Amino acid sequence: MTTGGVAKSRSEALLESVRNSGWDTRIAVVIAAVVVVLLLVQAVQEPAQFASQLVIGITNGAIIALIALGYTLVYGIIELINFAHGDNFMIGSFVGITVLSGTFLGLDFFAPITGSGGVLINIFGVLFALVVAMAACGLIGVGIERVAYKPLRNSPRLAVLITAIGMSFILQNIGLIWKGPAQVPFPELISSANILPSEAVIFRWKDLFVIAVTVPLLVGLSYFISSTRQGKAMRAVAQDKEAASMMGINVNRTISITFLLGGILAGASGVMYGLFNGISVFNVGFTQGLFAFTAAVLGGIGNLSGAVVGGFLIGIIGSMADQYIGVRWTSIVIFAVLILVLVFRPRGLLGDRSAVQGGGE
Amino acid sequence: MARYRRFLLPAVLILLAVLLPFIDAALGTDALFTAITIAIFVMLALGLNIVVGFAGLLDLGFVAFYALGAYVVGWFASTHFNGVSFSLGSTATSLSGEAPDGIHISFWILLLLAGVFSAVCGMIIGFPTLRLRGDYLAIVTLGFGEIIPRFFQNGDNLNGFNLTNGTIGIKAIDSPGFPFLPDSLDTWQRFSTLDLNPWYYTILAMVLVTIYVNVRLQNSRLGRAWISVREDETAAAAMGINPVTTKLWAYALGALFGGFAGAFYGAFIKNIFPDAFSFNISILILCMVVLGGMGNIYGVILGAIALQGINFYLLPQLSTVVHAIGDAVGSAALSDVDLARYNFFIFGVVLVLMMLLRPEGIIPNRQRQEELRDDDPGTGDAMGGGARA
Amino acid sequence: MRKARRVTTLVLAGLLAALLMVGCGGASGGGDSGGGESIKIVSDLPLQGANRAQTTTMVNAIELAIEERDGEVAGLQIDYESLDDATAQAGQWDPAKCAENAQAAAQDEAVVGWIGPFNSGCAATQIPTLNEAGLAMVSPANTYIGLTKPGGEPDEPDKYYPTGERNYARVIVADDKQGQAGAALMQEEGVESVYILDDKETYGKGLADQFQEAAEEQDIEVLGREGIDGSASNYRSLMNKVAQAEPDAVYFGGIIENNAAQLIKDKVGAGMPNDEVLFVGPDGIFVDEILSQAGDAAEGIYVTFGGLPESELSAEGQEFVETYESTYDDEIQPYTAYAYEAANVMLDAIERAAEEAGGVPERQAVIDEVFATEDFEGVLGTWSFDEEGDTSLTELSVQTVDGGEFTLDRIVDVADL
Repeated sequence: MTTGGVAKSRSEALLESVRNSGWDTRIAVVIAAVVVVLLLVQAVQEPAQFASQLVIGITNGAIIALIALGYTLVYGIIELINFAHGDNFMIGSFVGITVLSGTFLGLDFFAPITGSGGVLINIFGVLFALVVAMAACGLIGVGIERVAYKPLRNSPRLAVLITAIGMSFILQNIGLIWKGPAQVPFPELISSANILPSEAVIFRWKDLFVIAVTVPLLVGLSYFISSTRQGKAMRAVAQDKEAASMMGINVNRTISITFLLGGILAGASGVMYGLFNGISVFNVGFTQGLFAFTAAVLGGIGNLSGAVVGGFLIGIIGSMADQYIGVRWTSIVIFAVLILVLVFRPRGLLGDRSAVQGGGE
Repeated sequence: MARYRRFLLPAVLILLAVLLPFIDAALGTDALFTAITIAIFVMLALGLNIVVGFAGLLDLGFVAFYALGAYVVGWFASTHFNGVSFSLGSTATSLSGEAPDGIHISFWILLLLAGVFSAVCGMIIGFPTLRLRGDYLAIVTLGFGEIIPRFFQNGDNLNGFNLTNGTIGIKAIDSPGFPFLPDSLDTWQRFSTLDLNPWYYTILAMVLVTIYVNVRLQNSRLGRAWISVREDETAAAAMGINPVTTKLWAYALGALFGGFAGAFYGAFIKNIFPDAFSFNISILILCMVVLGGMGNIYGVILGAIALQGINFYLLPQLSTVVHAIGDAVGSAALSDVDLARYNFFIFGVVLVLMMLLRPEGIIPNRQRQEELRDDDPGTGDAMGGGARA
Repeated sequence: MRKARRVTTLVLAGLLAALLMVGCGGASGGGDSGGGESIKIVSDLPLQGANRAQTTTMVNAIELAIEERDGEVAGLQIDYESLDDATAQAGQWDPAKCAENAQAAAQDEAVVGWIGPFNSGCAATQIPTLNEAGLAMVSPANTYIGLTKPGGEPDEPDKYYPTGERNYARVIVADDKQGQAGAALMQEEGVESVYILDDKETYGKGLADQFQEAAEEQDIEVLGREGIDGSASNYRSLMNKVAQAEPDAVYFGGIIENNAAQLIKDKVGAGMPNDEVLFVGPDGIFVDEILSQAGDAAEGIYVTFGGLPESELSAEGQEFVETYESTYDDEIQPYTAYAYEAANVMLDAIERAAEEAGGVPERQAVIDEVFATEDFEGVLGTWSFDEEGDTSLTELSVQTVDGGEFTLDRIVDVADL
């Protein structure tokens, strides 16, 4: 678990590893370079079109990055692919819509927030929904860990993975029972109007909102991990559980806090996703979760800055594929990236944990 | 006498299975359609069991092979490629009496072809992934399992060539049959949708062959190699077992049976679409293997029957009970609920509970049981060994 | 050894339990009501997902049609079963479920009539099975052209009818006419260029093909064509790309379940408001649910519908609307009247066949009588089936969203085109 502080040495290490690598990595680097050059040609030819797609890619990517952080946090500490994370994200968006429609817990203790109540009420409503969803998803994350993962801490890795898949299906069906199989609309609380004066490039208030929520969360998380006592404990546990526990760190509590953090991020991204796209559905956690997982793997799973970089990259790859390859191929492109990265560079772009058998390089 | 006793129970079960259509007809239960569907899943579960149970490789994209098998039958036993006209031992006829459009090859040839094609694809997919650690391997297979249906979805225009007919899928697939039989056996000449007996006996024969192959595999040299690679790959390699070829065989054989099942499914349902091969199916098959007992052939069969039984009978029946309660209490929520809708909720619970309480499954494979209950941290990390801190 | 025996006992017990379950399940499913002769009809609709509100009213309408005959035709008691071809996991119709339902009905000898399905893709899986079973089908809602006549894929419609005989008819106007109506609407609105999207399904893609053909005939330039992924989180990049092509209109062939509302939102969000760039969709999104899902963005979209809304129905139609509204609480939906019509056509055909047979009719006789339907005076007007099973009606309606409600915009008679 590393943060941006060492990014420079990482990029150097990345270059170094390319220099020392075999033919397969070299081919991959060449292909990636060709794709980037082709995109740059497009950018020069049609700058406005390229810029618009880039903005769309970045905002979509910001949401993916937030979800990806949840995967990477948990993987960093207990090396588990927390399959249920994507569905926790879906629950987060459903909590958000429930709060905003004023029916939370069946109590009509405030009126639905519809967008006609004025800016202040909107801001308050969005913040309140964010907080409630973050709290709910944080608790769900911790609860799942306690019930389903903790008893299996000494079991084979794949036993826990199967449990995680099971939890994912349980959460997905809770969402299904809760809101039904159809798409659930969110109220339009944030304007879709363009902020920029130019018509060629569109940057909406919604896009600003995504950035405004994501950046503080990222900064806060990075501060928490690098500078607080608890964050240091997390890093210690990630490195060596036994040694950490000998140093007086409560390993169980630290793992719980990691799941809490992952859940909080899932809740925040769930509400954000809903407000941004305006629609959520019970199986959104599966597709978005897979994209986010791809992002985490691309950046190097277990690596926080890697997840953020991966998230933005996946967002941009998605919007570029929509524009230049065709919408129907986009998801195939993204899953192909997942497979290619896992097969040829399992550590991801910035990764620091080996995925290859036996550990080590 | 004693040495024949172990054959007694299987013989009774096989006899029961062979007589099922007659029992069904006598009782008027119309259960053959369900029995055929269950049998397809028994085959799939047995195929996945080779990969997950025997070799200890978690495969989350097994549905891909099922799809590949089905599409082989779709391509070569329908009017899909209508630019050509080719028939080989097929039951297809055209109304005008001329040779029908498209490629029509006998189902029995295609069945083999589908299995081989899936097996080859299994090896192609497996080869680059085998050096990965267990959970990464699972994700790569999941990725393939997602890509292949999506490829079929979009394959209706590959540079203008219509390979898969997109989301719409391939329709009106030929029925299997033995065209050379006399007319008195017309339901065997061309399997119809009204008489399910030929279908049932075909899949039953396929399942029995699969079971036989699995039993023989388990105690073969290859079967023991799988166990050793599963438990400790490094040690196995040191003993002269090539882990890569051993695992590839597992992939190929698992895919083979997946392809067989897919081919039969395609011909039976007569229509194939990418949507029928979603991730949920992969998980359903995995559930069957886990529930029954990874590595235990009889357990896996029981797991498949139990889960499909839950799907087809238990949940609808429970729903009617709940409706009755709802009507009695006057609760609209209860009287409208349809439990079959939430079957995957139950499968999720099954996965979690089995892993927490009885990871070795209902009928454990004794060796797997010890591996899964082993609390000592090991070094391997396949399904069995490799406990981790 | 003892362990092995225990294992085998377990297997045996499990198999027996499974067999018993099979037995019980089948028995309760196939139980006859006994006493007096009866016939059975089934309907097959997606009762889950975004269309649920619509399809439940359709089931009500069929029940109403049966009740109005006091549950009898020609002295035979009518058993009615409503099948669901959707699964919750899919959130919409599911091909495997469709095939399974068709198989079940084909095997059940008491069934003489099939009303449905709702989705054309589902029909394509069911017709071949039910064709071999010789069961009469009347669909209230399938509009895909290839189900009954050439114009879709090369082998259609023959490949759906392995016996060579027809058994499928529909009371709604097919997509060739709906595509024409969409193009005619654009023509009238002065549209010169259009971007076409579809959801890649039998219905959506087929309809988009029909529309494209009609649009090209009307000299409307087609700027591009894309198939969308119904599970994508948003379509902003796509709509951005569409906006760069600067079309006068966007046509979408598809159903609401494939994320149509998100598509509309993102179209408007990409700087293409509905009053500047028309959005035209088919009856697949003619569901009130789209209004709540798309919110303000739905304002001003056009929807073509292969029939007339309830306000424009015949006198019988108005009567039906009144009876329905006094009997059921749910609000009437676009397809409710069509389900009622389909049920009545089917029941009339069964009645004629039963009278001729003097008892329970053969399945084939019911098919013959369905196709013999002529000058049927129903809620949709007076119409007949042609030999391909298509209705002789030619009037379609165009709806627009005004003030958060679907309102009738105009009626297009494609016979004039």
